[in-house]
Amino acid sequence: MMKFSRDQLDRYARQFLLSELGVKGQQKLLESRVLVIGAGALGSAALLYLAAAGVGTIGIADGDDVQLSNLHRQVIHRISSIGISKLESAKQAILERNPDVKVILHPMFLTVDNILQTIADYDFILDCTDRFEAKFLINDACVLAKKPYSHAGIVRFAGQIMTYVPGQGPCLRCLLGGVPKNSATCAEVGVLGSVVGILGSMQATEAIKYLTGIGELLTGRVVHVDGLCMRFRTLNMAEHAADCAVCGDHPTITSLDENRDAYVISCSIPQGGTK
Amino acid sequence: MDSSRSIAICEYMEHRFPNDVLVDIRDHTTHSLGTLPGAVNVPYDNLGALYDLPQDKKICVFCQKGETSGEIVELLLAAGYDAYELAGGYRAYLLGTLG
Repeated sequence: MMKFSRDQLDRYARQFLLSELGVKGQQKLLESRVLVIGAGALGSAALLYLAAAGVGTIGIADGDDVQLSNLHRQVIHRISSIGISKLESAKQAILERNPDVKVILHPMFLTVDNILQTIADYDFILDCTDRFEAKFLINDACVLAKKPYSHAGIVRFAGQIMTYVPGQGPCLRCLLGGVPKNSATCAEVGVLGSVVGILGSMQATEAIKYLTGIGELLTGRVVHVDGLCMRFRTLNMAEHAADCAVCGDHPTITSLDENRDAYVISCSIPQGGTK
Repeated sequence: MDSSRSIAICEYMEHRFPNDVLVDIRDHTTHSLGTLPGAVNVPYDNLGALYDLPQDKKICVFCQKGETSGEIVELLLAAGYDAYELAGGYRAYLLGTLG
């Protein structure tokens, strides 16, 4: 058992008091490594809460700079962040809140060629990206590398979230098969920041539960959040799909490279416009 | 936590360690309304003050019902203290002494 500093006793007092978490759970968090892919709207909420809770190592992957149009929803960034990289902005926000966190920056958009080595060193991954091509890349990489991860996606006033743990339920492909045709992006139809915040916070909660081994994860369940009428619906899918292309009984996707065209966006999207 | 670190509170108050400090981790108001004789208060909203406790005494921690004292003992043990929890908490002490 690690010895906590005086500051840590004060800082984490209310987490020690949670009998499910306690001193042992706090130590696990401080020893954990979590990667957040995307420092946009979902990532903002997730990063702030992961850092506050004391996750000891947080990696962040993003290739964008902060723009004014981000600030209505990307709450980790500030006016003074405009024009600097989202990574530097997020890192500063984290270190100003919790010096216990070691922040590792991955200044890039993840691709077929760099994702597997990037996720290798982490215990849990958060998909906080804004487009389905990236989501399927992350899904397939995590399934192939046997890494647990949190999926979430939002648009307008609604979103969905699920957790993938290897061998414990469906992956994203079991649910959706592939990139949905005609899916809208936030830059095209808009999004409400506070709804994204709900989903991002749920992602951080799932990560914390996985790392400390408490509660029930969203494995085998997809929660759909409709912020406009504030209804939460659960879709149950207990098992992986036997015919899933990547995690099924006879997978056809056995490497990222052979499928690389599927992860590329076929039309151009404005830089930084949709997270 | 080793079970030898947990001592039933009424038993303990009858046969105390010679060199002990009783530590009440409940909030200040609750502590001031009634506590073990001679107990000091390190409320759980000011846990940093735990490290002001003397290293050379046996630290005996209690809470209201015995649900949180164990966590505090873990913290103290990790910091090198000789710490124990008084199982059952102040509630068990009242039930044992007033009945």
